[in-house]
Amino acid sequence: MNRRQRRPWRSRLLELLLWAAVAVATAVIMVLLSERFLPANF
Amino acid sequence: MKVVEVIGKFLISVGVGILLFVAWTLWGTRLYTDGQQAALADEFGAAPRVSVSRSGGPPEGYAPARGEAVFRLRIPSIRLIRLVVEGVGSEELRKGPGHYPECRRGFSPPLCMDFDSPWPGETGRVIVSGHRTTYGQPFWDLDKLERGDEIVTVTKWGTFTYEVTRKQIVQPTDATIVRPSDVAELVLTTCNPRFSASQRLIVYAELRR
Repeated sequence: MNRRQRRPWRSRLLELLLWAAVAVATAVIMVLLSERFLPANF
Repeated sequence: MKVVEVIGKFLISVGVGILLFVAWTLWGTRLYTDGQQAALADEFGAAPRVSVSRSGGPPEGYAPARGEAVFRLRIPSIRLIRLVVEGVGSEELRKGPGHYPECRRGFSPPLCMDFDSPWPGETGRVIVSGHRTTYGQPFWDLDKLERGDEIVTVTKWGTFTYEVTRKQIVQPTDATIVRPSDVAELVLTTCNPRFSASQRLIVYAELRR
């Protein structure tokens, strides 16, 4: 059975940072949309 | 990396982002408002007392700037104490409940009245709007107010106590509360129900002393 090759830790860290950036970007976009579309006294 | 793996990780990241957004909306915004209220408390405490006018309000010409602390609102039955700021725009309501101003320099329709906006103690309808779910949720429990509950306004020209007379739920487009009144009353407005903006909750109170 072929074992999957382990990637270097730096590559995995970069990938983790990329997905964290996607999560933060999603949150920021949603905050901006909510500021625009929710009423002032929500 | 397989395409399915990338899509899966992307969707998980977006999900985490949505959770971050919810956390910011419910709790993060409170931190901002708490900081603003602390600064407003210093500002309000340092402001000098003003003499009460014949109408029961502040002296003629009293026109605080947008976002300035104008009075303290205290509702013992729902354990609410907040400084009310001048103006009901998004920026002002992030600091705390906002007093609906008359249209003057710095305030333009529809976020102001085209007639004199009364102050606590005066005859007329003092309107205060506040957040229900976000930014410290000052009016979270507004629906729990009952007829006879006290609402106290502490101003720089005196302390005025109002008593709740009735509650009303209206559509968001209903602007009928913004009108002159020959009764000294305080009207609190917020979104209804909690976590929704589909209606507006209005609480009416009349000046007792």
